[in-house]
Amino acid sequence: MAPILIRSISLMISYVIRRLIVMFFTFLLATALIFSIIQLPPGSYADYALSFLAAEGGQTTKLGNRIKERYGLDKPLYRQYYEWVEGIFRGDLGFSLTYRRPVAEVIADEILWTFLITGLAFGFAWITGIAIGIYSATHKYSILDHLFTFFGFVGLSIPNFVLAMFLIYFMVSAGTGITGGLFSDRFVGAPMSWAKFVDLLKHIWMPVVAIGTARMASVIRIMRGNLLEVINQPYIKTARSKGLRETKVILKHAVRVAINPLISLAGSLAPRLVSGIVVTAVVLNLPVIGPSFLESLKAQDMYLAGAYLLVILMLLLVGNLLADLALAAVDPRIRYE
Amino acid sequence: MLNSLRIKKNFGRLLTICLSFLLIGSFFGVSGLASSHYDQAPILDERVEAGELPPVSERLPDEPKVVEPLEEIGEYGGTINKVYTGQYDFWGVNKSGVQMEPFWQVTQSVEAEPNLIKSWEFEDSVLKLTVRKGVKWSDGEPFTIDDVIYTFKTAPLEDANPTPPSLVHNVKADEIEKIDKYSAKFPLEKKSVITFSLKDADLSPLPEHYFKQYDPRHNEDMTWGDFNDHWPRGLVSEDWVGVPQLSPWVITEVIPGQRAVATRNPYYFKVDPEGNQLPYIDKVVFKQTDSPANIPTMAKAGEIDLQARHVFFGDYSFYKQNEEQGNYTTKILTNTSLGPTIHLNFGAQDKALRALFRNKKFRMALSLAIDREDLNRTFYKGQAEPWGFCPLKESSIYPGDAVCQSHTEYDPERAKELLDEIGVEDTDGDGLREYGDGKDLTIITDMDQSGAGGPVQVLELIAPYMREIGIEMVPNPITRSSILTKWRQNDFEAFAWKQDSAIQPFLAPYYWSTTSSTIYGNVGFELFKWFNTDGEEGIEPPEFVKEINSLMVEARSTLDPEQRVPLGKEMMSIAARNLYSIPTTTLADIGIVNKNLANVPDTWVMGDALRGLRVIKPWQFYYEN
Repeated sequence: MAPILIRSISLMISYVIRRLIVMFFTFLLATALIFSIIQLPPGSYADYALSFLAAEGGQTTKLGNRIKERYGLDKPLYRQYYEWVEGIFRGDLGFSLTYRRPVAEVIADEILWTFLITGLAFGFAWITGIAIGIYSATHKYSILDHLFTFFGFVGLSIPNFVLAMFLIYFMVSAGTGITGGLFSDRFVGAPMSWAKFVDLLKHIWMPVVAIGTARMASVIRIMRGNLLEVINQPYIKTARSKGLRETKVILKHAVRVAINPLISLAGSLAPRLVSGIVVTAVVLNLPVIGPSFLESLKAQDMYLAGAYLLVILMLLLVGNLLADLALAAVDPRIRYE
Repeated sequence: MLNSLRIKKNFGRLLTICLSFLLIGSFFGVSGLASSHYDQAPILDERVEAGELPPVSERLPDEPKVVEPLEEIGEYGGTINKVYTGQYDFWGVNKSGVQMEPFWQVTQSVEAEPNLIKSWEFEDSVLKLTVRKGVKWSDGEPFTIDDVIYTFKTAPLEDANPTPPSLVHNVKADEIEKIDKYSAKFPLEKKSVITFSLKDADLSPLPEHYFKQYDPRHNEDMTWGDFNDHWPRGLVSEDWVGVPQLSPWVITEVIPGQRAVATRNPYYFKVDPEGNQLPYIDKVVFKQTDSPANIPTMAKAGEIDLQARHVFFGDYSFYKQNEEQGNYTTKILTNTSLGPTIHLNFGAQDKALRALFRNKKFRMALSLAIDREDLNRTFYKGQAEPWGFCPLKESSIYPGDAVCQSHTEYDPERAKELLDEIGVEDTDGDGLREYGDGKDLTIITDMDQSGAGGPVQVLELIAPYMREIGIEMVPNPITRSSILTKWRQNDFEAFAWKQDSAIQPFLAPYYWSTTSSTIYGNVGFELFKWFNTDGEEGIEPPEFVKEINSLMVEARSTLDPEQRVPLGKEMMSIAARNLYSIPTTTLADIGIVNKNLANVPDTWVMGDALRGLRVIKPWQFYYEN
């Protein structure tokens, strides 16, 4: 038994190392891609800054050149790229041109909120989605199954931000005075307290539902489909014929296998949750990375935009790694590939 | 019913006024208003008692500026809630009366009124400025002519986050001659300029005592980079907190992405006729919205007390319907600007297109194709007016109806004839005319997607008219910076922008000629280059554009209005007759105002030259109970 365990562990370690090496090169490649995408639109941050500084009056091209010089935008592109990547490895994300502050300082809070909201949305989508999926599969073609299927498709086809708009309209018309955001005005900037926490709960469900619903719908579909397939497998019939209780058959034997695709899906969905939040956050006025990400792209504030894309990239890479590890842990076939 | 209410209300007001006169009378006896007794906001009482602040009479200058309230003496307290669209929306914040108090106050008739600068006079090529005595910065330090001199020596520096072209760039900074603590002589580079240009309207002093510590000229440990890090000009930034100001409200908190808070300046130098220190309102809170599209819902939820910027006419019905729930009134405002005007690139890269744009008959065809009455009815609900390429009637250089209505009637048949005449015909029968060597005639028209250049929908309404005469005009809503980049690289065909300063074109020459490197009224960056280099670089403008440019320069350097007005009229006639750009209508604006907010006029003129809300003096607004 012991040698098998050791072999299994060493296989796992080599698997992790292989994955990490691939991750490193993916990361490098992706940063180059990110950098070039940010550089794609014509002009630079200097043009953006000028268009606003000069918004209500005259301007000079000289000023534009000065801004470029000051922020190093006049250096050749490869040089700018090198400085950026080198900084990332030193833990320095660069300087936000628009906020005139280190990028890390600008995004720290936003990232916390983003993780909180997407985490909740993720939990909401997965827990309710799996539960409903199991119900639907075991009660195939029942009225509730049809109903869930219907709402599942509706949820899938309504974009997050449209749902968010519906929610806002509903809340405003109901006279709650909630137009988005995470806190009521009087709590913005106030220290954390019980009342503030309650206020947060009153607001945070909107983005969670708005962002989570579409994901939940796909989780339902996948869970239902897989479970239906697994339920008809011979080993389930065997389990049943041995006289196991139905709940045990489903939860212990069927769901455990049917849930595998959802684990790998979870890895790839992590970044999609973050990108899904972008437009929704604009609609809901959330202090998450969405609105400022859009703004940084428009302003060609390359280090800030780059940092956001890096966060999404890291989520994708780490999410995939974790999902692969989880899958490898659950499914031995993966390790031996 | 309504009438009786109004009478009651008016009676109440009358009573208040009578009573207040009685009160004043009994308080001050015969001396009346010339009193040295001043009152302050109750929230300041505590701070004075605690010894944090000197008493109000010591905080106010010897001669405070007395502001007549629009209707009645107000009461202290309350918060005005507004929105802003992010850190670049500084001018939205500033134009509400927050930060950077201007030297001059601009009035509704676009005149300069004394503000921080008490008086000014030109002695030949020297401008003598005198500041109001005893005004104090928000930290209690005195404001003197030294601050003004410091501003004139600092603001134009290329190193110091420079101010856009304005009076500061026209002063010989080394030759400023201080007379006493409150006045100095400022020799000018150009002998005579028009007294005030638009950019002088927002000229405001820098606190010397504060900036000295970051100024490399005064502190060897500092660089200009350090200086700029503490000088957040044009940004809603945390860097403002702690910078002494002279404005009614000063920024005390900025949470990026969330809000900016401005609280009353205990040293503000204005009082009402009863000696109450202004402003009446304690706080102005700006909530950040990531998209102006969220503003209507926020208004409906009652989150906005006063807003005209980012409030668009296209949402008029929505605002009107939700007045009750949001507790606000929708006001229809006039604007110093005309609606979006289509500027064709007279230096377009496509030579055939360039030739077409330069052909007056072609421009006439475009103009005749637009049904301006219909545009006014459908989009502006009849609140605007069809308009030619002309300033507003209120302008001193309005050249007359006959000239201004040139080529603005709706006559698509004549437009088609004109196009046929110049050989732009539909030869392949696809409904689109061809030009040059057989290309379909499409004109891509750039426009600011945020609505800052006027309503984008207007262009979308114009496209079908153009289609009618066989031209495909494609509205292209993009970001302002993209428009600017494309324009500077001469990579555009046409762009549309509202035509501002239509009340006083001389204040913003860049809207009405191609004499500056500013986009708004420009008919091609290459044409500006030609103008700027005396023809050495760039593309030569059509004759009539050259005439307009030289008339603009001549008129602006003429101090005597007797001479300036005829020059301006001539310039505008040439522009209107030749269709410098394709005009549409005047511009109607809307604003929303909390129903309880008083001393707000029923309507006012919006516009850059009038500095937004500053023209209606938000510091004398108050909440009626």
